[in-house]
Amino acid sequence: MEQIEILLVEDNVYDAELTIQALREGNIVNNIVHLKDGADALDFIYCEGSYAGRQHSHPKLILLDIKMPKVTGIEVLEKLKADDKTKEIPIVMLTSSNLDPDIEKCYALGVNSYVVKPVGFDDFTKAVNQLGIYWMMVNTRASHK
Amino acid sequence: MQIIRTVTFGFLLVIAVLTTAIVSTYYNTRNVLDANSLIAHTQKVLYSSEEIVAQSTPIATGYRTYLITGDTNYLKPHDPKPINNLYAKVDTLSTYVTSPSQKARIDTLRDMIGHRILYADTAISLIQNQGRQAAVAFVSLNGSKKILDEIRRLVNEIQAEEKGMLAIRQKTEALQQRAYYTVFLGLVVLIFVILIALYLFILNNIKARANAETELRDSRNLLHAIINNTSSNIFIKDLEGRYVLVNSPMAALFGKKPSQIVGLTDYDIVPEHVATKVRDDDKMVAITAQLREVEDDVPMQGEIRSYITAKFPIYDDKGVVKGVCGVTTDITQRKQAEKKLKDALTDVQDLYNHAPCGYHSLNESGIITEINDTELKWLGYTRKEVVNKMRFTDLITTEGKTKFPQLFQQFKELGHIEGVQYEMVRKDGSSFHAMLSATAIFDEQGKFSHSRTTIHDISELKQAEQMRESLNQLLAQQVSQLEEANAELNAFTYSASHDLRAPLRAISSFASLLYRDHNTVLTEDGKRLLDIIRGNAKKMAQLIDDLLIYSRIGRAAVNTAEVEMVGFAESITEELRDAYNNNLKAKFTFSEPHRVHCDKVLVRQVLLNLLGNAVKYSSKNPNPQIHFGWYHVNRENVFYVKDNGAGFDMRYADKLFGVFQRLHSDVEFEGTGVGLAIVARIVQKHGGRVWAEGKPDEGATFYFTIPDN
Repeated sequence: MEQIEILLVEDNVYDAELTIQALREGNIVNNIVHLKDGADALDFIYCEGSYAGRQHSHPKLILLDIKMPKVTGIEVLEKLKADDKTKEIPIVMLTSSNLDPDIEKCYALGVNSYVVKPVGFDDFTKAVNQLGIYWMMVNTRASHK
Repeated sequence: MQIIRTVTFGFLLVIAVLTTAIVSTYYNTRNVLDANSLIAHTQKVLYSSEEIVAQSTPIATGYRTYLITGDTNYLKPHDPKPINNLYAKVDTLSTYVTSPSQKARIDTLRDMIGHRILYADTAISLIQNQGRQAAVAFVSLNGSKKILDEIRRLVNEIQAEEKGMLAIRQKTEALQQRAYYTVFLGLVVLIFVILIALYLFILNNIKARANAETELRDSRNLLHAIINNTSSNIFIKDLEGRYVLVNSPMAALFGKKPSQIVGLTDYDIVPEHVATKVRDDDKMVAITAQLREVEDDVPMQGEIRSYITAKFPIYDDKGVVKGVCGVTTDITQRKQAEKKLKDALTDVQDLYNHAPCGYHSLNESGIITEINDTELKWLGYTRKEVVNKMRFTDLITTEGKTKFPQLFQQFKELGHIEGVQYEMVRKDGSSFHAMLSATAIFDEQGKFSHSRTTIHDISELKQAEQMRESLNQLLAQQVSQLEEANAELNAFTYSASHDLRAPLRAISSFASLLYRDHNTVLTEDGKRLLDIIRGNAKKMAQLIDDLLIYSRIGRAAVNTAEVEMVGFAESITEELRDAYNNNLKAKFTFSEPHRVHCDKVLVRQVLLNLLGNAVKYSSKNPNPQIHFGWYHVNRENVFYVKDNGAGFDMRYADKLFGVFQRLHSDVEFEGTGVGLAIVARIVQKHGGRVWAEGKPDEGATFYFTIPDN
């Protein structure tokens, strides 16, 4: 199976659709997996629960919404960055506002970047595109094999 | 007097000795004269006796010659007359001698003369009567010669005795003369001695007197100097009140010389009532002959001056009072000082008694020695009941009594104590809470003398304290409630804005997608409507952002550091230029740099908002000019942003800084109405103020201040 390029964890389906749309428009990535909450995301990464049979492979990038039901983005971040096996997966937090009080916390936990979801579609598309280009093409992972 | 007596005695002695000398000389002279007369007397006796012998001889020779011659003329010696003369001579001789033996011899001599005469008579009568023969026979017997020899022998004896007596006398006389000379010499020497002694004595006295006079002069000069150079007024008056002596300072007081006052009375120099009092005092001193101190108030050169005078009597030689001497000191200043002191004391006493706090003093054993009216009033006692009768422990509760001894001991050692609380018991048994502070007063030996205690009735304070405590609790509750509410509000604001943005994003983005991807099926009006939807969604997002900033500022702590404001503002205009893609027409000017202490992150928002506003509101002016400046007044740094834009109506100036308050419509200028509210909030957090001045179409100036540190 082709490696998951981007794992998008977003509870808001419209935001998810817009994000995927934006990423696709840039023709950067093909393989995007969208999950609706943190619990699903963790199951997916660790191939547990409903993803128990999944072939084990880490995505190239995780886009993580902060505010989600059940397990929040922060909790997911904390868990993945605390685990030696997953801590090198680049994680970009998606947030509605750059005034989000959780942003600092995310950096403390080792987030690689964060992106404010702009209200306007053009801005949004632009932001997500830039993000995809950076992480998919420019950035070289430290432990790349 | 001693001198006079001694000198008199000396002279009397001299006179006595002199008299003695004179008397002795007199007697000596008399002695010498006596001796001379004695010699003369002896000579007379010798002469007289020789005469008798001589006259006795012719008696024999006469009758013999007659016998021979017969001439009767030769009988003349036998005449009665010569015979009587001879007898007279014997009598005279008899008077010359004194001793009985001489007298006896003279008597014998007289007898012998008588015999001779008789013999001669016999011879004569023989001659005349019996003739010559008989007579010659008779005469040849030579009887006459025997008688004459006898006479000669008697006269020789008389003369011998006289001469012997003279010799004895002359010898005695010589002895006396020698004694006289000795005595006289002695007396003369004595006189000399006495006179020399007297001379020396007088000389000494004169010298002593001269010395005494010098001393007297010296002491008189000294006295004069003292009297005239003292600051005191010194005078002597006689019993009639006339000045006999006045010293210069006193005379100067009346603008005169001492000589001009001597002879005057007080009535001549001071007002009558003063003079009368002074005179009475003088009389009293003279009568009682005792020192007297009197105080007088005398009008002097237009002001009343106070004098204290010590008056005492002056005596003459006989010990009789002859006048009054006085030493006067001007005590006006002292009196004024005394009055001031007295007034001050009264003030202090008044302050002490009417102070809004209680005062008392405790002696070493804790007995109250002083207490002020305020404390007495609090306690309900009178001063008599308390002072020197009650102990402090009599005024406090049993609980207080147990802690007092130790505290009092500590206080006496430390010298002070503060904020001790006692429950004090009033006379009626009720009590109140008091707080005491005290300072210890030590005597010169460093021994505790008494306390100076201040006492405050803290009943109200206690009540207030209780009330404050309950209020504090209430406040704490409210604060925590408020904090809770705030936290909730913040959470709400955040989630609201967060959650509000998602649908907005959806509206805006899907509208955009619709516009883009379904362009061909949309009419122009449909496209216009989609634009409206997107624009409003965008504006709402901005509004939410602004509200978030506004709410975040409310919570933010101010972290100040030194910031150079002008350069900072300049850098922000560069940001604005970037945001406007270098399409800014506005021309910026700046004042010189100025440093203040502020929170750079927060102030950045202020500058951004104000400069952004200036750019926005001046955008319709063809030559927009924006100035950022500052000035310093009353410990405030006043910064301002001045533009030549649309301005505003000053009547609505107060609405500028409210949330969602706008003076322009969105059509004129876009805006959320939160920017200036954010500015005001940040400036207020720095302890500063904001205000604005403007005129429609003439521009506006926005001010904010940052206080000095």
